[in-house]
Amino acid sequence: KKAVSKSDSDEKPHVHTTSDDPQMCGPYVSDIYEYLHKMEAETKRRPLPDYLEKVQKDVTANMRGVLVDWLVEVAEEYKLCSDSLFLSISYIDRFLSLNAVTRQRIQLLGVSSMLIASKYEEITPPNVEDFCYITDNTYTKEEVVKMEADILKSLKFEMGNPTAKTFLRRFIDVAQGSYKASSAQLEFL
Amino acid sequence: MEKYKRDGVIGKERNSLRQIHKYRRQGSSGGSVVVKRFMLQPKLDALSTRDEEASADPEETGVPIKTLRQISLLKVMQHENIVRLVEMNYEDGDSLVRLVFEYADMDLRNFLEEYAAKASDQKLVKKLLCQLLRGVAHFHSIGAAHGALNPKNVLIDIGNENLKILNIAMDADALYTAPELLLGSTESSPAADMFAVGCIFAEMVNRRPLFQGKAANINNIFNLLGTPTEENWPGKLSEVFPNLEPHGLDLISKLLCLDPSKRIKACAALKHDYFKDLILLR
Repeated sequence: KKAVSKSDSDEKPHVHTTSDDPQMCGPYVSDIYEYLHKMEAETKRRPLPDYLEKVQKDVTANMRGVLVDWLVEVAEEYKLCSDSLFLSISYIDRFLSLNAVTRQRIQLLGVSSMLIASKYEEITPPNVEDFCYITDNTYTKEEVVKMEADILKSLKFEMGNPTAKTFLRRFIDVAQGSYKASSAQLEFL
Repeated sequence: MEKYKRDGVIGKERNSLRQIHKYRRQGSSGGSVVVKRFMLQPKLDALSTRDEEASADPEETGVPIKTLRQISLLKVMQHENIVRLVEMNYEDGDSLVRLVFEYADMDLRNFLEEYAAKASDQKLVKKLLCQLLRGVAHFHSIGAAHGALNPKNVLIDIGNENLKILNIAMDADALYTAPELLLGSTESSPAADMFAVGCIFAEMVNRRPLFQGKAANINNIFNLLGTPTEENWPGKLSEVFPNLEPHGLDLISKLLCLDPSKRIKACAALKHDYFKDLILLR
């Protein structure tokens, strides 16, 4: 995890390089990393490890698995970046840690979570109609929007948590050093 | 909301959803707060009548993107130079979110107009700019950018001369927008924030906006700063700020640098010689 940085004589292991990413610009890189690391550890931004047993009555691990597999396909269909997919799943797990949901509504939770994640992360997110269409219009626009509001309220609008993807990008960036290989190649190894 | 009693309006926006109200907290705790309302769940059949912010983009339904991003950001902001979100509550059948912020006396624009004598003190300008930069540096240190800095969302407490940045869904003011954004770059960035800081600094020094007028601001910017050859503009800047000390002039030229990659960063600006004689606040 230790990064070599030319300009930094600090002895702490910093995940710290120059980057082309404007959001990770120069002098702030290690500040941002520390902040994300701290945020990741906050309990309120983490799902319960045992919510399926403790909170859910109808939803099973298998259903969650099917939902996640389907969302991977939705993300591909709408060409969403992988951050949006990772965020969607973290919203779903956090919501399910706080609210019991019936099996009929778990797919609704899935699309509304992905709607929020896309709004948070994408430059041009798909709209509500796209998310209704992808469920074969199982849910109406009103239902998707109502669920969106329920999720935002339940998670108290704390939508900006880092995901495994956030750190993966950083580590790959650091590990690559001055190499200019495509990071996508490394990400999917 | 029974805890609060309405006590005037801050700023001059007329639309009720854009308006920021001042409230006085009821009962023993006392003190004032600033309140901003957001539409959470627009009624799908009543977009045009109820909600200007959502109907601005008819393709989009549900919570507006800006609202969603900014509230998430507000929830993690903890800094003495950023207006703190005190609480959030829901009203009108949960379709409105009410954001309650800590209170500040007025925005910077009002301050410059109504307290002209006080505002012309160059030491105070320095103190306020330093606080502005600290707040902006905090945004950047958590990987965020403000995106719409202008004198209307920089709030001032007159008594203790404290400055706090307000971060709510407001449209960026073209007169404070960096040239790279006017020329088509779409994402707000830390560098664009720094350009806005330069414009605000200039406005504090001269007590009038640096760039004025409704036409495309890019012409104004190039008139002042020159088209990209960088040797020709420090001369012009010193004409615009005859009363500004040389270090201030140097800082302002670095903030208004046309090339976003060479523009000074907030953390570097705080170490600029302009602040060398500032005895400040912890």
